Amino acid sequence: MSGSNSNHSVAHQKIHTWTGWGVIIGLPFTIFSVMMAVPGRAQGIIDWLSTPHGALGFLAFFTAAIWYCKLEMDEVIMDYFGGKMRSFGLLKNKLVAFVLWAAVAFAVIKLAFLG
Amino acid sequence: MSSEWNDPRPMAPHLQIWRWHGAMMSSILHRASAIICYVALLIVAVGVLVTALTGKLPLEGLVFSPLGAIGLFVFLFAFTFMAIAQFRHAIWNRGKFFDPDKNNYWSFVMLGIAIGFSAVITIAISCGFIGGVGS
Repeated sequence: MSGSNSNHSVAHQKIHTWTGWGVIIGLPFTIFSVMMAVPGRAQGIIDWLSTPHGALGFLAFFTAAIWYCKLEMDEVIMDYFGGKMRSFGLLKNKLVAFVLWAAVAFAVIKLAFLG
Repeated sequence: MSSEWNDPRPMAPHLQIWRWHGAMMSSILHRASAIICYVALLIVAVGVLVTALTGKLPLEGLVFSPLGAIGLFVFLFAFTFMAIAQFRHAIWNRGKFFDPDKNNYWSFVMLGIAIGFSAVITIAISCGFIGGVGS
């Protein structure tokens, strides 16, 4: 393993660990919030995400979860693809994760702070 | 898979080499659950974005139907199993819990906990036990 790959691997593992803790800690709160919101159907979900703590809590969980899943998908790509396909797959994966995160960040900020 | 394979390592997860065992099952399931969660997060992101823009939940009838309940169970299971498996990774990172027999046993326990927890939450929501959808 080259020095660059080794550094990348260490960073990957560190982020994986931190986002993993984010998922572990955030999941119970998110499930509880969903359980409370779902009886109100669409309005219940809007009400939940319209409060600052609901919006920021959900965004924090989503950030950890999307980055964790992105890293897992990176591992799948690195395990099964090589060459240009690997580079393209990793780039595409990063882009998809960022777009999804940006969409949720915009949505919850709009609901909670912009009305 | 890729014809451009230039990695000196063998392709994971060596299913043709390893004998099937519990820890292997949980390892594969961990990866599969992460991919399912990725799909779930994609659906959630689109749903939340459309809800924020229009004030209406897209495909609301489908979300609150029996098919939606099955989807909820699958996504809950994936998230729960992924979180438990990651917790086990955190223990491994501390250099503990490497005994193969214990790992095989706890792999099935993890699976049972994830299925049971997801089933209870899905039923609670779907049947309206928390004043929910069914009521």
